[in-house]
Amino acid sequence: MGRATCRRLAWLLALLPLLPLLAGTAPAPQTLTPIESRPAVPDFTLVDMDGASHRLEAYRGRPVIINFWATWCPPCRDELPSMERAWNRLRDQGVMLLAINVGEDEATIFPFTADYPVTFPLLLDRDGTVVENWPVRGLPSTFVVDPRGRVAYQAIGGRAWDDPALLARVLELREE
Amino acid sequence: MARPDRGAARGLALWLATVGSAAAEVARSSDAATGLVTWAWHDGASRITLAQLLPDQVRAFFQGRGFSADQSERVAAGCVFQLVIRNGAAADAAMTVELPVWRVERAGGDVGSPRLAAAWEAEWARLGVASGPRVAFRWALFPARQRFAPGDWNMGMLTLDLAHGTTFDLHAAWHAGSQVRSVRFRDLACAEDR
Repeated sequence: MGRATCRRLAWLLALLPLLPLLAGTAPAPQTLTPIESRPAVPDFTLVDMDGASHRLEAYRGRPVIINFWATWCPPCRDELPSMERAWNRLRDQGVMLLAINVGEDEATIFPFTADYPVTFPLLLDRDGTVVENWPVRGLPSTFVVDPRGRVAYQAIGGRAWDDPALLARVLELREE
Repeated sequence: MARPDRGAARGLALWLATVGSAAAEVARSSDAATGLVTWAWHDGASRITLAQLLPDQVRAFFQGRGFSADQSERVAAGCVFQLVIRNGAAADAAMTVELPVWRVERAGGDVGSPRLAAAWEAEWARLGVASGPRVAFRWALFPARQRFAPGDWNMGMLTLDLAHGTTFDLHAAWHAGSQVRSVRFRDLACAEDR
């Protein structure tokens, strides 16, 4: 058995007993918390799984969803499929979605994406320096940035990101 | 068991003296396959859940994140729960949780508080643990302080300096809007090492 397979089995074993717990806490209301003060976001430049560089500032002019996650985080995994469905609805609507992995490397994330395939960019914050600049307390945490580069909404904990009402709030930001 | 500092303990005593206990009951359930026990409190909207974690689960998790066997044993030798907190309240009723004021009470009156990320971070720094595992550890633990807007929730590990199998009460308190609320989880038990 390969080392990567052993590692995947190890975290699956560790997290298996938590599945009933998660089922009992499945996200009910798909809320986005408005941030009235609209603070400017801290800029960053990170590479994705393909080695391409992404600077947040470069996406100015359109709403950007920024998700902080990790492969070992059950609610992060739980929301990824709905995030992919959301991305399929948003990608041609002038909205960007960036998922920033906290503290892991390509060797960990790559096999993970076989089980959780996504087509939006997965950025690598290997040493956790970018996440430290954001008001993140736990994973997953997600921020919606308005076209002027300010935080418009945040969501702590997993969501069903393909919820139409939730997506409508993101799309409305294009008009601002 | 970590002891609250003197100032925090005095503030906690004053604070808890003014706190009204949340009326809802704590439900205890046990997984038929693993025997692991979960305690859950909810008031129809918000929910706090504590689930036992086996020491082997803790070892596997942290060794999978890059900790050595000796380092992961420092966590697994204690008492670890999976803590989930959800704010299901109506709009504008934020829930603010501060773990430093949570109180752990053992039979005989010994009182302490959870062991938080800052204490662990100091230990990992002293032991020269690499950055990668330390980043994972920091985010795997439930944060010491967190504000939950309606619909927000989080899950993370809660570590206590208690031996496997120890029973204790946990006095959890939080701000819900302008109110201070609390619940006493009675007879919680750390998982056995099996």
